[in-house]
Amino acid sequence: MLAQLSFRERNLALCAAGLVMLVGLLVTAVGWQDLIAVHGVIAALYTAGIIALLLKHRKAPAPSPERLKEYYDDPTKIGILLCLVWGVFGMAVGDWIAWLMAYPDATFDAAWASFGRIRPVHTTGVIFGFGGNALIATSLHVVQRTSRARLPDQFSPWFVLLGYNLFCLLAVIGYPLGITQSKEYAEPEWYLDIWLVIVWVAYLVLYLRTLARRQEPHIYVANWYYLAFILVVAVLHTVNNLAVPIAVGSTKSYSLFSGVQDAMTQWWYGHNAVAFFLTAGFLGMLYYYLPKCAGRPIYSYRMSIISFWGITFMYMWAGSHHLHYTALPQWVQTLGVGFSVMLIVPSWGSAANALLTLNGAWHRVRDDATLRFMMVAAVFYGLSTFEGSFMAIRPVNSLSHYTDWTVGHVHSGALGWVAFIVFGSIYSLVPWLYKCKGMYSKYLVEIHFWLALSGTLIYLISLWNAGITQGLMWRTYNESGELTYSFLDSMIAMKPYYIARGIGGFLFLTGACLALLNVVMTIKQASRESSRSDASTRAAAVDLPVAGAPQS
Amino acid sequence: MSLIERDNHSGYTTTGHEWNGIKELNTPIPRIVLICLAGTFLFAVTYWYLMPSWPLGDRFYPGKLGIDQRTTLAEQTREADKLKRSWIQSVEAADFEAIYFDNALMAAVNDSGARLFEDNCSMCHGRLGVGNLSYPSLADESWLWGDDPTVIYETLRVGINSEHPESRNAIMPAFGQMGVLDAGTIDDVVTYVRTEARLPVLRTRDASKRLKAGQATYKLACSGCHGTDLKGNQSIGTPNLVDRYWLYGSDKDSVFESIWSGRQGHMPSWEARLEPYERKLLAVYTTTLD
Amino acid sequence: MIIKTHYRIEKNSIALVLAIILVSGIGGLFEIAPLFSIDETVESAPDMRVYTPLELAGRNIYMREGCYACHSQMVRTLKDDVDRYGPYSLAAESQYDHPMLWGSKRTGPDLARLGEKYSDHWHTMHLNNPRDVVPESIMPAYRWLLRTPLDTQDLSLHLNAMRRVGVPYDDAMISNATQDALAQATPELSTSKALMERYGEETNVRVFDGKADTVTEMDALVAYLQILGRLTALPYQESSSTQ
Ligand code: HEC
Ligand code: HEC
Ligand code: HEC
Ligand code: HEM
Ligand code: HEM
Ligand SMILES: [Ca+2]
Ligand SMILES: [Ca+2]
Ligand SMILES: [Cu+2]
Repeated sequence: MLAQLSFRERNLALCAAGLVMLVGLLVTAVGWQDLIAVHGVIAALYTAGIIALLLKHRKAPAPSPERLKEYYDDPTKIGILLCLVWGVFGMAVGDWIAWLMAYPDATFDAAWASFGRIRPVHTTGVIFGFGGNALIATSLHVVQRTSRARLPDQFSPWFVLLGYNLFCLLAVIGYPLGITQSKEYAEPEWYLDIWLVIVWVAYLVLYLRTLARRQEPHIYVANWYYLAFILVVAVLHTVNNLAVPIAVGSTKSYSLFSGVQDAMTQWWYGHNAVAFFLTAGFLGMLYYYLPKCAGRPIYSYRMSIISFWGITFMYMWAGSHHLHYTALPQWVQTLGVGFSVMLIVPSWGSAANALLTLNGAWHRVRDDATLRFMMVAAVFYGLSTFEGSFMAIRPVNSLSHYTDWTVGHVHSGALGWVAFIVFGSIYSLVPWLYKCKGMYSKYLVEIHFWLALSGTLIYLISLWNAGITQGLMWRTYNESGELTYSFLDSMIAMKPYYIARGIGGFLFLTGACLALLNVVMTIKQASRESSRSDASTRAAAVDLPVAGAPQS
Repeated sequence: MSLIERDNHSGYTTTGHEWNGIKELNTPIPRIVLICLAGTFLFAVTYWYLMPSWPLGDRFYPGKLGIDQRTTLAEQTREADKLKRSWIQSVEAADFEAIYFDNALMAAVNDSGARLFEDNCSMCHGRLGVGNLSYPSLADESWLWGDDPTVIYETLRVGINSEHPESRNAIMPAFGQMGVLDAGTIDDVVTYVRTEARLPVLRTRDASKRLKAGQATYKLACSGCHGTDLKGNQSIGTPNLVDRYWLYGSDKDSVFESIWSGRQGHMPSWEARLEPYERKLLAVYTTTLD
Repeated sequence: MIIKTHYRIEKNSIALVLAIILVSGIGGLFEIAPLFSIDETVESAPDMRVYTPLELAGRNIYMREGCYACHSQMVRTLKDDVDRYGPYSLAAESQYDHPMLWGSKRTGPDLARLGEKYSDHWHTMHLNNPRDVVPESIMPAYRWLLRTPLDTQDLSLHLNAMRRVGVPYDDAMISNATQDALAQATPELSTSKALMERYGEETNVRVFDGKADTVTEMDALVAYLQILGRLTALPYQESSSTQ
């Protein structure tokens, strides 16, 4: 794989890796009494591994200029594997914490394993590890195809992918050790936040450079979404993570804003992490793989426009629905309600656009589990956005807020929408990438589909029940006008639902493991086949860029 | 490349663009989408008009209705209080005897009292009131301060060894730690107290001598508080040492620890947290636990 | 017409970038910036005090352990919230909270009004193993808090960083941070008086974890829990004035 890099790029990669390693060692030295040293050492080891690989291949022959006539998919291939590994890991941790809520002592009495410390391991693992890698991997694939241009160079995609995974790795190792900013979905401490900014800028530049090389006059909708995802996440991340570290050699920082201002900034970020990380990026995915797989044109270009700009504009106002009835001034809450309700229209616009695209291909949906994954994803996207707009209405939120209903809503989006679209896209993408007829086992894909669907439904139904029960118990008054149930009553009532959730999660996790297995087997099979015959060149002929060879 | 085609299935034309095989139809936006957009927009604008909404530099638009979440809550609270007032007054006015004989009030005790107990007291005294190590059971017949609801009501107001200025104080001195008694002497007292409590004690050769010594020390140091009969004194909140109930454990080491390091249970004051009528319900509820 | 304009935008990646930034930027500007400029946003609470170094250390432990994942610290303006937990939370109460810990899930009860509800002894037992005192509890056990001595060495740095983000710590508070932290959990130290002078007579100076000889992480966390809702009396006055 590394042989594709030109000599210049190999040296550049060495320099970059060396620099990061140096910083890692420096951090270790300066903060050797602090937990930051652990992060320093891991960063150094990680980059040492990369450097070792690079050195091994340094003397490999210069890459053939022929390669520039093809798309550059190696980072996508690795990204998909990383995505699935993170997915299995993150969901396993998710299921573990799900069981912890029924059996709280399942922690080996270890500090690192307590609920509060591993919950962010789950959220970071699935959102950033699983979701983020899926987004990077597919966006690099999609932007090349829809621009008919190869990535501008071979170094920056690796920098983005590996740099990003370093961020995820350090974050996830940090929480069990107690390194956290305690801001939901932005838990990594200040220095990791800075590192992510660097990686993210590289990602944006890479994306724009590829777009600049495109051979199509128009930029395809998928790229609008990917671009919005990259841009807005950059802004959100930077503002929400503004903080003052106590010392350069320390993990600890204090966030710049406090109280209400901090709360609003946090949920402006948090809600739009949902909107632009868990929604916009994945809509980009949907917009490419679904029509590709169904062999149908997008139902309506005009609806794409309305949806895209609606989502980009309105989501940014909706964050205050996480703070209803709190000390946040009510005027902000009111604005949030209005935009959250309006948001249903562009959201359903996208969902409908996807489903109507399937018109004329429903027989394929019936027969092909891959396409069915994407269809279900679009349905759950519609369901969870409807639910979200509903929960954003203040009286509804007064019931749902703080309860497991919110968690149910989260996973209706996270499992039903995000994970389903990722699996659907991966199942269609992997055979294309490895130039084989299909996945290793169609049968496994089918089993995965039903495991995922039943797991999701069990999860959702149990938590909707849990949340509504909880919400009602908290607010029930008796004839004397006194509260009827104690908090403990409501907690005890949750137990069966928590157990059901654990079971649903386990089914979903099993499915994810099958996906990983299936992808690995497909790759193995493909490499066996291509060594036997040279069928790959034939298959590849249809999937080539028209962009002139970039300077290497 | 830029070729507008007609899609056979839907009958619409494409935009003429193509990306790696993906085409788009130029289907007009369905009317329903525009209607919904207008509808939700209308909802939002109306809502913004009525309620506090847009920021205006250093202030914000307060809304046509002139209400906000705080005034609404105050209003709801007033309404609820109005409905509850007569009931609350009947609780406050009734003396404890009367409450026990009033079925309606006792129903409230069992219902609302139980909820109050679980949210505030069960953490220490257990959901059933049976207590825990160092937290007294309220469901047995042994009481530090007595089982009279009036006494309990007062205990709830001021707490025991709490931060409240009028708190009840009940401190078991740390005889060992403060150097008043040495370990051997305390051992003897432990033997004496546990013998009197009919707990099994080790029969050593000098047992009777030690029992005597223990008894002497008890008379001198302890009887003032725990009584010469070891039955405690409810007026100062000292526990009975010869009943079956032990707050801090009855084994030799625990009793020794009680005398060596002293004890000072902390029962919070509820005056600031609970209304008088709530404390009254709780006082009655507490006496009904068993 | 609109389609024509859009054609122009979608043919130019820089135009697309600018349009996205513009369109997505408005919401945040309208909702966040005025929170700094509208005076009413944060009530004035003249009696508001800052966290002592021990309490701040406790707060950091609260964050480290992820308590906020299960506990909110925000009583909403809803009748059942107020009836169960106490007066609703005001913005002023978290004005020194960098970051805020309002939370978004109540697996356990709200803690905004927790201070002095229970005894130190209870908190110590409960955190050590919740099921020792609440058999039904599903809260994790935090046994290591009692075994781990509190790291007080760099507390001055913490206070200093807090000052840089706007919390009114004075020089004496910063330079005596370590000493103050130890003093708060060790009443017999002579330095306790200086601590009270700096942070007020109301400051809790106690052996929070029942072990007078060491200052543990438990001391810090319990000290923090015991001042929740007690940094200012404003919420208690406010609710009685509106009723
Ligand atoms: C922080 C723990 C705690 C909480 C919460 C608590 N108590 Fe107590 N309570 C105690 C302790 C400890 C004692 C014993 C004090 C002593 O050892 O002298 C006690 C004593 C009592 C007594 C006196 C018992 C006797 O034998 O005379 C009563 C009555 C009582 N509590 C009722 C309540 C009620 C009702 C509530 C709720 C409103 C409550 N307690 C909440 C810890 C608590
Ligand atoms: C100043 C009054 C006082 C004196 C003197 C005193 N006690 Fe106590 N003792 C108490 C109080 C009050 C308690 C209950 C403390 C609590 O509830 O937290 C108590 C508790 C105890 C207990 C624990 C009871 C249980 O249920 O676990 C024992 C044992 C005990 N005392 C023995 C003694 C002995 C023996 C002496 C003399 C050496 C003694 N006390 C002297 C006030 C006193
Ligand atoms: C898995 C979720 C979970 C985590 C994490 C958690 N708690 Fe709890 N907590 C609960 C539950 C459930 C209860 C109610 C049962 C009980 O009292 O144990 C509770 C109760 C409490 C109470 C009693 C509150 C009251 O008013 O009765 C306190 C105080 C508390 N927790 C503090 C903490 C602290 C401090 C941490 C972090 C070090 C923490 N909790 C972490 C779930 C959790
Ligand atoms: C095997 C499947 C999964 C299981 C069993 C699972 C379980 C859980 C559990 C137990 C929680 C904690 C809820 C609480 O604190 O009450 C949680 C939170 C969360 N999970 Fe999952 N999860 C799974 C998959 C996923 C996936 C795939 C995603 C995202 C793509 C995801 C995103 C989240 C998020 C965002 C939260 C935080 C919710 C909040 O703060 O309200 N989860 N999950
Ligand atoms: C129109 C679209 C949506 C709206 C208006 C919306 C609205 C909401 C609301 C009101 C809450 C509850 C806040 C609270 O009470 O605490 C919430 C929580 C959440 N939603 Fe959505 N939602 C939408 C779509 C989605 C989608 C598609 C996902 C995808 C994964 C998602 C993920 C989440 C997450 C992770 C949370 C939990 C935040 C937290 O408390 O940690 N939402 N959303
Ligand atoms: Ca961060
Ligand atoms: Ca949350
Ligand atoms: Cu949201």
